[in-house]
Amino acid sequence: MIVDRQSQLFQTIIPLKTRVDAEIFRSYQRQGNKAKQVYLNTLAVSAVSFYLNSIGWSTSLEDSDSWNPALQTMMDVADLYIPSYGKLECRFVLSGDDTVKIPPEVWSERIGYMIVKLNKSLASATVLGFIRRADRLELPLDMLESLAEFPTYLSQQKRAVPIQTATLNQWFSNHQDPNWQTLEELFSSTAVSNFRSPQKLAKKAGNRLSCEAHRVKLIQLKKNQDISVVLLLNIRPKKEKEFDISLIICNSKIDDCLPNGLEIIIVDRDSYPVMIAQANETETIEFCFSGNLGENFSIELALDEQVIIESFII
Amino acid sequence: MTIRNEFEQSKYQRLEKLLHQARTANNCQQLESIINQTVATILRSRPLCRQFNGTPLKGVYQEIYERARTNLFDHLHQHLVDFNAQPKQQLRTIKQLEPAYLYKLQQQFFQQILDDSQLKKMGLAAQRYSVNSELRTYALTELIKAIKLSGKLCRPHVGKFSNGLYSILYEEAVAETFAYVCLNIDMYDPERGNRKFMNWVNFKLDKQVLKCYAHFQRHAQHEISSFSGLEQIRQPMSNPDLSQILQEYLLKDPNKVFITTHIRDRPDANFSNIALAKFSGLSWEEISQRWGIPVPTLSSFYNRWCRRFSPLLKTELKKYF
Repeated sequence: MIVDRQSQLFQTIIPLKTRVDAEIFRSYQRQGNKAKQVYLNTLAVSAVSFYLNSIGWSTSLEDSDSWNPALQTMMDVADLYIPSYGKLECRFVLSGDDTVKIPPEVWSERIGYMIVKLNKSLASATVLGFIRRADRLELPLDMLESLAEFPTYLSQQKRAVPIQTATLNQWFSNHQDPNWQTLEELFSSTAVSNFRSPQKLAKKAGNRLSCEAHRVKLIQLKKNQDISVVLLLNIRPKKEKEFDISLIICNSKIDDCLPNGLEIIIVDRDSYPVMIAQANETETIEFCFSGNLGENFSIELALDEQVIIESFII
Repeated sequence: MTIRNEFEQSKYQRLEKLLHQARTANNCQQLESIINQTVATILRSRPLCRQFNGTPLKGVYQEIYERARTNLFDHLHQHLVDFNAQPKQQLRTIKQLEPAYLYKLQQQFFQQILDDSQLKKMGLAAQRYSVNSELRTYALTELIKAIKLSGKLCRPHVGKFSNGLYSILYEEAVAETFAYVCLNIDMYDPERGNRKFMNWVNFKLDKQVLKCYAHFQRHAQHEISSFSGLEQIRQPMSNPDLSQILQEYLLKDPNKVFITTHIRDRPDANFSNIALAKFSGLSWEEISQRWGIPVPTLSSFYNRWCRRFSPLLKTELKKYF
């Protein structure tokens, strides 16, 4: 069988405006090595962005860490954010290299790694191929998968959209939400066996005014270790279309502390973390913030490698 | 290089064999069957209308393929019949049956078939598939190959620039235009203007060449680094030094967030200490040994919290710009 092997590489020129962007980023660094790293990472990310655009995939440089001067300074990062999919890391190699270096700070939270060869004059770049995961500092180039397989691979990485978004304003009208129960419902349900004292939970919830709405959710973190936390969300109207929201998190075993190392992050609609807390010998964590009708936000709970996200719309 | 040559050679050899068989065919039916095989062989190296994931061709791709197939078949049929019928003309006809000639001819046939209406159909086909899907990628890749092959891309403003400058600007403008076409194919409206697809593309290319020139002019004053010059720090140092600023901010830690965020059960392995260790030039391996924590745990903690602290860091940096 004759197999016609088409060229599996993608070569592109590096446009002038990319060189200029790279120069600007470079100028923020005084240390020679770091300056060079930022410059070359910028070229690599641009080349991959161009490649993806050329096959019809949209990319967002502005939402990429690699385009953020603060994060460029903190890490050796060359990510490219693909909306609805995730981050692709774009590592460069130079002519004559037979391995690619991948720093540990980018071994996690990536949907894949693209390898780009920058030519000596830095006027052109060739996307050589990709790898799915990285857990080593150096990888030989012969382990790269062909670009021909990449569109298929990428389309499989689509992030599942969270199906359950709780609508907070519906709670005012005593709307039945299957995921979020009122305190009364919780006490009367079988889940009450997880509470050593439901009265204590009610106390934490505080006095309930008639204009407020409370809802509770039990979240199981580590099944095998029987760790679960309670999320208590309270919403109260502040002004027309503006609401005060408070979130209380405590261990379902009320007198116990929250699991150590539990990270709670409140994230706005642009995926920006707006409030962060970490539990260390903490019994309760409380967040208070306000938002407008129709605004989206989510709560991220992370313990070790496990991440649970609860989404809301006010 | 060698592999490619061997591959080419075997391609040609196979064709030669088939053509020889064709010349010695006994009847019409046998001749046609061999010609079909020959055409199929040539088409395996076609420049366009590749199959998508092994599925049969459909729509415009099938249409173009069929036309190319017909053209090749007719050409071979005519010349083989001539070859047999007119021994005196054999020397002339033989050229038309050479493998190298046939592959070039295939290329030409595809080029001729690609008029505006075919390109338009290919553009519309891409619109039908959902964004960020493999089928769309396939359709767009085919479209760009077709535009290049068709020769219908214009060369706008060629008289305004020197040859050297024009080829730089043009190459860049074409690449940008193709990326634009792929990203914005949904914006192509077949009912607008005089309804020609290439007008949409060429209109964009025309503007893009001028845009590239404007960029070129505006940025020509910027010194573009060569590879060897990348580690040199340029004078005057008018921009703030971000490393310095961020290190100071980490040390100051006004809200005590950096020092209190730490790896589970290890208050000493906090964000502040790890970041400063990195800034001081220690490798991840060294940092790992210092704290007795594996590299992946340290680095994923660091990455996660760098991103979460990003708004804080950005706000701090804004003060200096």
